[in-house]
Amino acid sequence: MDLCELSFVKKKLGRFLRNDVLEGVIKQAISECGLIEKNDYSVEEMHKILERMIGFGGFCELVARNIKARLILRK
Amino acid sequence: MPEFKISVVGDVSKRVILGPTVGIELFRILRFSMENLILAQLGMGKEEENQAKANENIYLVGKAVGGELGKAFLSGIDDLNEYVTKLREILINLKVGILKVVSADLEKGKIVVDIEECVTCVGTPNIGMHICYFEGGLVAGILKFFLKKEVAVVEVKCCANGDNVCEFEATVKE
Repeated sequence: MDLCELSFVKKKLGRFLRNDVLEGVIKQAISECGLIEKNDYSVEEMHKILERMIGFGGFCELVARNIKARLILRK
Repeated sequence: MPEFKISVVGDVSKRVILGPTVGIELFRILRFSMENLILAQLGMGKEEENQAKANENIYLVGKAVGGELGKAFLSGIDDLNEYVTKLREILINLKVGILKVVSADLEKGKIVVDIEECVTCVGTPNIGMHICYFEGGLVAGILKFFLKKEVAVVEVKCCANGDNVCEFEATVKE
C-alpha cells in the first residue's frame, strides 16, 4: 500500500476514528482541495489533502503529519 | 454526554463495577514507558536531540487528544469565557488537572494558563526539567479547536522543575 493511496490514509485514520467519522473528514478534505475522490493521488495532491487534514486538528492532524513526514522523507 | 467518536475508546459505560477512570500511577507508568520506548527506538547517542524528538511526539499526541476533546465536548461554543469554563469542568472530570487562565490577550495572540494538580508532574521530585509535553499539546489542541488557528504551547513552569504548578504559554500563529 502506497503513501499516496487513499486506502492507506483511511487505514491509518481507522486506528483512531470510527469508519463513518473518518469517511466524513476525508471526503471534506478532498472536496476542500477541489479534488475528486479516487484511490491514487499524485504526491502534490496528497500533500494538499494532508494539509487540509492537519487543519482539522485532533487525530486527523496526528495521522496527516505522520504521513506527510513519511512522504517528505521518501523523496 | 456527546458520543465519543474515537473508536479506540469504545463504550466505557460497559465497565460497570470499576467505572471509567484508572489510577494516576498507571497513567504515569504508561506515559513514561511510552517516552522511554520512543527514546529506545531513536537509539543511542544524540541524547538531547532524541529527547527533544520524544517530547515533540508526546506533545503531538496531546495535541491530537486536545483536538478530539474539543470536537467531542466543546463544539458550538464561540465565547472564550464559556469555552474555558466548560473546558475546566472537562479537565477536572478527566482528572487531568485544575485549569486556570492567568492571562489572555487574543489581539496579541498570547494566552497563559496554569494547571494545578497536573496528572503528569504533581508530587514528582524536582529533576530540573519540564516534563508535561502531553498537557502542553493538550492545551494547544484545545485552543486550536476554538481559535481555528495553529497554536504553539511552551511549558514555562512545572512541578518537576521545582514549581508548585504547571504553567503554559500559548502563542497563536497567524
